[in-house]
Amino acid sequence: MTTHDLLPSLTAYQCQDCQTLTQRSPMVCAHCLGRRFSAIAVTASGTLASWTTIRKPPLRFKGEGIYHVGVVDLDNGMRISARLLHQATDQTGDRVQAVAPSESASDIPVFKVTAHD
Amino acid sequence: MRDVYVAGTGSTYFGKHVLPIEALAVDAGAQALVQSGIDRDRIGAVYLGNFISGPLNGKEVLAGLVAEQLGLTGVPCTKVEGACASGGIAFRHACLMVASGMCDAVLVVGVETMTHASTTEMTTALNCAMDNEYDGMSGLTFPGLFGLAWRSHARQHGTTREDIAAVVIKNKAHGLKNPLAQMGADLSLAQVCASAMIADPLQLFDCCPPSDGAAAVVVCAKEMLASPQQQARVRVMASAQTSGSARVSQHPDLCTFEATVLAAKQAYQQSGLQPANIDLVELHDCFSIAEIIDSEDLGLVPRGEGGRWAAQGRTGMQGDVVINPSGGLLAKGHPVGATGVGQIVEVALQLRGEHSNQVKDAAIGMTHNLGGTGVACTVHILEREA
Repeated sequence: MTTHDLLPSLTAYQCQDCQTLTQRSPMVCAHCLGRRFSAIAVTASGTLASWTTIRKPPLRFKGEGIYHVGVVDLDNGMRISARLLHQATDQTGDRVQAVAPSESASDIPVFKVTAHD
Repeated sequence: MRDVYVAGTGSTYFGKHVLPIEALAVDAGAQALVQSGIDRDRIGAVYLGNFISGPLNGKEVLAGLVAEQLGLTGVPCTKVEGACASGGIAFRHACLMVASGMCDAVLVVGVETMTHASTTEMTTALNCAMDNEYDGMSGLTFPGLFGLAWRSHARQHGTTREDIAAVVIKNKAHGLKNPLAQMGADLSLAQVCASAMIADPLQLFDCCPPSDGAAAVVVCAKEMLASPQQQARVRVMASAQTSGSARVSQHPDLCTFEATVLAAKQAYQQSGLQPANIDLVELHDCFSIAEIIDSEDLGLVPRGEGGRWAAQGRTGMQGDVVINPSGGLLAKGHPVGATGVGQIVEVALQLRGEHSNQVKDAAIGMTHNLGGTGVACTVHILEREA
């Protein structure tokens, strides 16, 4: 699988008591304080809310050189933070789709623009 | 609740220092104590704002350490941490101690030293203010956070590079008139636009510099004030502290901080004032776009108009509301834990009519101190009491 292969879905965590969705598995649900969660598949498509290019990274990411971070509004209504495979024509409002992460990326979804706004 | 007054102020210059962090705090604290005219045995507590003295200096328990060197022994000494809002939170808690009657006078100090660290060390330490088990895992940094906010503001409101540069040019010019400021400058638009890219579209001159420095104030009850003729009385009209999400992805709007909106609302309610009553504000311009967002969140500028107001000079010394006459974080500097207390010092000087970049007839001033991704915020309103 290459870094440009589109993913059909992403994993999110759903509270079994109140159905609230979160990007990462929490200790308790901030909405109802429930403690039982299910890993579920959610849409991997969305809209690029904004993005930036990190040129002065913290120590943990220094080995990655310059990289791109975005905020994505998934089509199910979740807003998540992500890495972005940057293309020069990227703009806020563009359609994005998750792709298979490269081995060097941290445990965070990676997206690429699939259509311009 | 009792009225609270700012009785004495003190500050080092903000910039590069070689002294140890506690020495800077002691310097500013002693200035404030002496100026207040209040005997040290009447100081009932010490609050010290600091963010990263542990990771960058290997030093903690700063509040007690500094109090001891100021001859203040036996009183409760509390170090307060709320990222970039540490100083504002320390000031608020001192005010609460006086207002509640627990203390008649309290010393507040804010301090940070950062310039000895490398850019990577500093970025890593500052990133302690992010939720690093959540979207901090993306590798986002604070310049990056405001790069996201910039693009969002540009898309929603049409804000341009030129609009945002106007904030930089204004604040750097203000800094030239402030002897406490680290990096005043007479900048052109071309110079701002030619500076290095840091976190696109944020460039070097859009970022506050790393700084060392300390600021201090003594707050007290009315009966503790020294000679009323000595200086104009500065009364705390409102003190608000709020919180927001530590996760950027949990902000429904990337170019507003809900903690600021809520704190401003509370501060206006406490004081009975409206935004139009504010003569000047020292707000948290850690990055140029932040000033535009803050000015809107505080209700001082209509939503979406922050950039245009800056470009039209409506936030300058002769403007509708004067923003950051000190030079703000962009020019005065941002020794993180000291910033919120330094803002109080700046506004107190303005209200006493003693500032080197004086706002004409300044009677009411506001401070706004924001921490992390908007996870902590304080807003204070001070008045010159007739």
